[in-house]
Amino acid sequence: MTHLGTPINVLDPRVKTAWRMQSALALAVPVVAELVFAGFAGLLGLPVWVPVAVVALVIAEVVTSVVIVPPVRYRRWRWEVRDEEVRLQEGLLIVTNTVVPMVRIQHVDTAQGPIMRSLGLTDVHVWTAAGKHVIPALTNEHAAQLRDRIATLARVTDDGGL
Amino acid sequence: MADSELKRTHPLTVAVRTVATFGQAVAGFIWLAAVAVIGKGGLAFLGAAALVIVGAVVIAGISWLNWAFFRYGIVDDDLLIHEGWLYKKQRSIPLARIQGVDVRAKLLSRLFGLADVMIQTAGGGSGEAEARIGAIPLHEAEALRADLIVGRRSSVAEATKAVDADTVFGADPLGRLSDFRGALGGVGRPEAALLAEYKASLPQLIVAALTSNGPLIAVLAVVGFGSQIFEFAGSGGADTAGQLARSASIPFLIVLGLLALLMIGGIAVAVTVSRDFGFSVRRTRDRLETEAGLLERRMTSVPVRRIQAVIIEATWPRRILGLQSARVNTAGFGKSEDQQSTTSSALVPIARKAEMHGVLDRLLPEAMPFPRTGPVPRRALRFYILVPTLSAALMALLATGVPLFVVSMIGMPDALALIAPLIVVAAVVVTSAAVAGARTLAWRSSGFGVSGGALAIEYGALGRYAVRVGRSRIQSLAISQSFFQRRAGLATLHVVSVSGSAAARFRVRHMAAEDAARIERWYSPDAAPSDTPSAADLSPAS
Repeated sequence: MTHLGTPINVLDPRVKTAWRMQSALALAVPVVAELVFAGFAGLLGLPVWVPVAVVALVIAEVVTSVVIVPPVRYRRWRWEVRDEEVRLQEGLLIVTNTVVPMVRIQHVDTAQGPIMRSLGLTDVHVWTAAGKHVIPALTNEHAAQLRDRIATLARVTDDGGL
Repeated sequence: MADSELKRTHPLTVAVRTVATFGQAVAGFIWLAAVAVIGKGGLAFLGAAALVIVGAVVIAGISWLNWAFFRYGIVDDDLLIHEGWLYKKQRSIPLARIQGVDVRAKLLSRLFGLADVMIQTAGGGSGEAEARIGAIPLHEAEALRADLIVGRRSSVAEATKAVDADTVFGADPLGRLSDFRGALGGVGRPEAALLAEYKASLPQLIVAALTSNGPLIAVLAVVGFGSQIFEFAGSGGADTAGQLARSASIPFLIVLGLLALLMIGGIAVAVTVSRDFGFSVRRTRDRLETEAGLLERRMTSVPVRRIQAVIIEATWPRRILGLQSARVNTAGFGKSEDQQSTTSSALVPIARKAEMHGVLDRLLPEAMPFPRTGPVPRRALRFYILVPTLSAALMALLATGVPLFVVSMIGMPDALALIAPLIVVAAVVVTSAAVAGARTLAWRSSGFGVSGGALAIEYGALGRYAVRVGRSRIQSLAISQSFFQRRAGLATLHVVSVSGSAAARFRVRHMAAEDAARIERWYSPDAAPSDTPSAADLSPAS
């Protein structure tokens, strides 16, 4: 299905680096635990294939989440801020297209963790009454501009009706 | 917006926050110290004391950083808040979107003449959405509160496109409805004109209780618990239940058990009936007021504007009997005195299917009629069945196969070894058949339709449920497609509404992709007008 509403903007390519670093950090603890387990497998008297399988699993995890996933996610991600709505498209295996009308937006934040800061990138958080939508990894200036633009567009009033 | 144009909070904030945080942490420190002292004596005590001091210094340091990086101010029509040193955040809250402003001063803050300003926005779910500015001098807090309220009023007044501003949440802490408060209600209102009323009779409520899940759950819980006891008694052998089980005759025990179940079920029904006793709901111009209860009379008042979704439900036993119930999801924060914390309230506890729409027509004409719905396509059936059935079969295989395999390794009686494969096969077949059946029913129950300003979604399996959400009550809408769905021309529709202060999500799985695209165009404010079927029905493509 081609969406008439497919958003036009891609993310900053450096977001792939950010995602890789985030995945690596998130994986650090389980990977260390698995490697320790593999190391002790001999002592526990387990057959040789057990540590081999664990190491293979570790390699598969790291390759998938650090090497394979970020570029695919990046290729899929699209966003667009229009006059009356924000549109997002994301997803790896399941592609999701989201419409957030400006009149439903309550407020908008920019947010930046240490990894994003080291890359000069900032996320934009768009809040509705039901929660948050994220446009990740824009350059700092662009994110600030976008936040102000959405905040201005979101000032229009509700359209009522039950 | 440069930080220099914004204000800091009072420097004493660091002290106030440090003490508050340390107070929470100190219990943990005391516990640690006590353990150390009891265990090891003097040296350990010094260690514990050092730990407390280090903890206090760290907390003070973090509080200082939090304070040093915090800026706020009103610029144009937005409240700006810059905060965070590790995780930096710059918030921009349109004044028109602020739901409520509180000034709060805890004891310690009060000693210094400081206060916090709490700002409620409608961002739901996590507390993250609520902004806190503080501590600042009390008079500044009052001034900020006034500025926020005045600013929000004028920016709402400016935007005159619609009267309705954000009364979605109708919290009205700022008195924006004061113009017609006399006619509407609130504290000290005159008796509001009664437009419609619905009462549930006692027999109806008894039927409702008998067909609700409460008694069934109670009975099932007792059966489960009872079987555990009997197993235990059987294996223990020595205790009284076991002796009773062996000495008494089997029929006697069965009758006794049935009587006990009947009694438990009866009690559960009685509790439900007494809770709903004398149920009535009244419609005034802008409110639904429900009243129920025998021992404790409960009254709820729901502003119609805060209703987010109407849900008609028929649990399995009710569906068989042609009965339905209805409830409404409402939005709110339960903080101001004017509103209840109710997020989902019963509207019609029970009614015949044929009468339900008539009752709702009178009570809530705004939400009627429900848009006509149509089914999801036939090619969606395998999507409904395949994955859930396969995963259920796998679960059944693991749940029976693994224990039996382990037992066979340890050494299993020959008789068991003979039937073990049969047990596994039977479990897999029965589970798969049950899940496939349920998913077929789910496919058949799924439906959707759009008409004018509202979307209706139907779902269920044994029971049937229908929800109606107005276009302006849908916070966001998404369409998702897996690779396989794309090949089959199917898509899943996700609709996000609000219940209480959290998200309420509804979805239609595996609808025709072109229908999903049409609903997206219906919802999208930016879709070209020619694409938008204004009042025309949008039933599924055949």
